[in-house]
Amino acid sequence: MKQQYSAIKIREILSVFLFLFVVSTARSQDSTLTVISNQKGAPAQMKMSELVAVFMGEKERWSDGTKITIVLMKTTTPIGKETCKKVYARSGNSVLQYWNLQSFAGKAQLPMMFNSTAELEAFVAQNPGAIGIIDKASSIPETKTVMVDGKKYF
Amino acid sequence: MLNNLRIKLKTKIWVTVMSIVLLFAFFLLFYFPTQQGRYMIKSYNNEVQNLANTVAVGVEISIQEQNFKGIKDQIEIVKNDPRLAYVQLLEQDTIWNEQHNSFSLRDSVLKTYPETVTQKGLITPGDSLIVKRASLNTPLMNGNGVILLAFKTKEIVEVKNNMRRVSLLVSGLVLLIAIGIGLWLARHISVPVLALREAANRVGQGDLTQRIKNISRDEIGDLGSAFNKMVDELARAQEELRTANAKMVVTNQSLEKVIEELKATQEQLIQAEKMASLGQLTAGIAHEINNPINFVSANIQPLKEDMADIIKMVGMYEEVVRDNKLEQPFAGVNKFREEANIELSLKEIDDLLNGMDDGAKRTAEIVKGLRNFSRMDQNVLKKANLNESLDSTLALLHSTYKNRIEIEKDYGDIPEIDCFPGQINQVFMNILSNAIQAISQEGVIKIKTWTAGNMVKISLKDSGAGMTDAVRKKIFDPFFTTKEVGKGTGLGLSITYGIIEKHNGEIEVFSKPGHGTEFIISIPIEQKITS
Repeated sequence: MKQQYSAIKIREILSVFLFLFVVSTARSQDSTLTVISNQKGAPAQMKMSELVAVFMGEKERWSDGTKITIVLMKTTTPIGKETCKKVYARSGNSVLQYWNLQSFAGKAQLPMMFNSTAELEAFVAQNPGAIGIIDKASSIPETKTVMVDGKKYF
Repeated sequence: MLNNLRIKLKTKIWVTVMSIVLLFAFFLLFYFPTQQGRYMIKSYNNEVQNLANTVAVGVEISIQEQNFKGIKDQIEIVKNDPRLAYVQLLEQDTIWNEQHNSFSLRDSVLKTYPETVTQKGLITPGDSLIVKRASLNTPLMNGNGVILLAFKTKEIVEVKNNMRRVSLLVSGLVLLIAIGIGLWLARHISVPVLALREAANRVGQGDLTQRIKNISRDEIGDLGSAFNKMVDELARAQEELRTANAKMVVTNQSLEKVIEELKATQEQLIQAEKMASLGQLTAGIAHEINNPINFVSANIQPLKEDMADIIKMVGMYEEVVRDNKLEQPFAGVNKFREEANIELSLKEIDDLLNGMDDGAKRTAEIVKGLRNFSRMDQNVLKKANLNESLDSTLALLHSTYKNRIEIEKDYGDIPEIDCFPGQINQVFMNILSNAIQAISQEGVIKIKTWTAGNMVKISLKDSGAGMTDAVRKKIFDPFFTTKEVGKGTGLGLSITYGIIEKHNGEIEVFSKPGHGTEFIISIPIEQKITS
């Protein structure tokens, strides 16, 4: 039992390293994703590592104290799949498994999953502290684009 | 063996009450809690299983919808349950063998809450845990997903313990109530029954004053009332029986007295008949002897005179011979005279004649006595002289006392009295016979008669052995005798008493052992009775 548990942990750690590796290689490719957030909460700029940490649920609140709400496109959507690939550096199922386990464990930070970018943008606009990943900058004034490593798209 | 076993009513009551209490306690303390515990465990199992199924379905849907909050909410349902020991998310892998013809299932724990719990997915359920699992289908896992819920049974155990405590309390309460009921039953059933038994025993011992008090208004009370009624009836019956017995005793005594009187009368009749027969015989003999003896008595005096003439004539013959000197011619006569001792014969003739005279007189007295005595058959009141009656009796008894007992007569000048002479003779015969028999060798019998007012009294006193007071008090009882068996009927003095009583007289006895016995008879001179 302990060995299996340790194996999962190791697998998660390896996944993180793989993700970091994918992210670092993705930077050299064309950016198709952008990070939007509610006007309140998220900073205007973030490092990729900070972004990964936020989307892994490792951080619960923004620096202004606003509760972080992770918003993602479902892994069945192309944006979702791309997000899994670039942010989580793992398959969509793996990401889902990750979050399933986190939700099972009662993790406070659980992502909201949407089928359309419009829904996602609307949710971000309506929820302070919300941060999501879509394929283009939002036109909704209650949202803003968060620069990642100084870039709008990654 | 068991049939002979005697169990008290109180014991039966207590055994019954205690059996009910024990049965009740058994059901309350063991059977019902066990059954309820089983039911609770079964329900608990079902509840946990349903919960696991619900959670699994919810999680499965949430996973499909990628609704992580939904997953969390589903898990929160069980997490917030205080009975939860842990919840696990398992992945069930199918492990094929090398030939790929058989497989086994192996659980891999993906997540456990709380994380401090280290049990594997398939732990053996202990007494304190109920473990249930429910499958969920999701493509996210390599095998089947499994939600495993482990719920603590502590609450059930506590409930069971509480039930046991309550049951124990109730059992104790029931026991106290049962003791109270037992005491009440013992007081209202056993105690009255024991009192009834005690009273019945005392009644059985003859105490008919026993009654049951404090009659209750139930069957025991009815029993007590019936007992009291029975004892009342018994006492009444016993009283009637006692009265009847007393009457019967009196009747028996009367009957005994009548029987004794009948016996005495019968004996008297027999005796009278005997005496009558004896009297007839005696009278006949006396009559037959009287004539010859009269001839003898009447002839003795002429014979004496004739003999005196003959003797005188012989004397005259002797003077003639002597005066005329005629001895020679009468030599043969003189020789015969000397040889025959005529002188002595002449003298003997006188003596012989006197003896004959005495014998004739004596015989005449005996005949007279016999004639007097034979008058006892005459059941007619007559005048009689008791002195003569005494002499007649003595004459008859002469042979029994002559040369041995001196008779001292002190006859007074008494008048003739009205009496049944034969019976009076029998009285004297009985008393004098006893007096003669009481003097074993030599002695004296003193007979005295005198007149006292209108009574004639006769005292018959012997110098015999005498008697004790105890004997003296019984001598007039019929069939009482101090003589050897066969020598006395025990009726003599009884008949004597009856005769004196019949003559309105009295008879007294004075006696001491060694100082003889004296009978004093008092008989009225005149009788009012006629027969």
